[in-house]
Amino acid sequence: MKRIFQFVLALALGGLLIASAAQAEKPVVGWLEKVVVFPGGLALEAKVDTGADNTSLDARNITEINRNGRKFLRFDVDNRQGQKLTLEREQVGIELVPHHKGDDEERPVIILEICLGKECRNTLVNLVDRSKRKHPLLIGRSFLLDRVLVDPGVQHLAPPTAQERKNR
Amino acid sequence: MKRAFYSVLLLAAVLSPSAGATAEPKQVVGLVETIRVLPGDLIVDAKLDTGADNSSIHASDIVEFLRDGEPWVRFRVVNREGQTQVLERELVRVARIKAEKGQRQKRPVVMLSLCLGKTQREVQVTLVDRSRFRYRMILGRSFLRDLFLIDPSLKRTVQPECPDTKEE
Repeated sequence: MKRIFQFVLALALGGLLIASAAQAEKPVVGWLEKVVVFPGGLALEAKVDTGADNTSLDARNITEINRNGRKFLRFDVDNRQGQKLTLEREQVGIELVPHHKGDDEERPVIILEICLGKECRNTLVNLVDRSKRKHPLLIGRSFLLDRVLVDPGVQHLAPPTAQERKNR
Repeated sequence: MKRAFYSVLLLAAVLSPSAGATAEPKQVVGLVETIRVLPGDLIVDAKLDTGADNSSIHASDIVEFLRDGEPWVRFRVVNREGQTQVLERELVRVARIKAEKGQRQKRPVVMLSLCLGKTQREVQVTLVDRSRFRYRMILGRSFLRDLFLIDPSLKRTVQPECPDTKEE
């Protein structure tokens, strides 16, 4: 009897593994997720937006620093849940954001590692004042492409698993 | 021992995704899909946008009028082949659209029955000026949720195949 018990248990677990493997080609994330950004390891509420080309972070007090002829940016990030961080990243570009009326907006672009669930990716991130937006981070297709499926009906499906990682 | 055997079977049934799931599996669709507006033969390409609460469509010549004392809207839409079509719908509400530089625009909202793949759903659609954008229609979360997962790396995975209720 004990052998039958073990057999059924193995069968059940095996079936579970096969079923989950078939589903898990690309992980599914919700349209709102808590993500972790590196360096710093700050957890931020992010809107996962298939309609956005790129990724935008709410950054304040942006100052330019010249370091050996390379332009770095120092800026403050506030997760709006009691944690703040000051980061220094090299500016790697400028993003032109077209506006309906008048001039295009220029946003400085840096690279951050963003971890959404188990997916961590070095991502081009433009810095902008998002104080009028509900969420400090907008994750666009530059992060999502070929990595995840987005479920427009659920939130917080993929809790961050990278929080324990050391600051880099 | 027999009780343990049955409890394992029960556990397997509950944990197994196929047996445990009561809802239909959500259909994976791409970033851009062909949509049919029902009733009628209006076919448009839409961008599936998890960052948008609601859907919107490019409309021109918007005229509000009264029909039997109720506010209605007459508007012109352009299909994928460039042909225009005039639709009339009851006004559901007026949306205040966020625009740049603190401005807000008032836009009429109507109910439209939309077909994506084999799924038909009637949702609120805001009539907007999208003449400067590549896609004439945005499908937001109110249409997509509970039924679809978005893979932002795919495009045009399905054709609209809903029965036209008007013809039946």
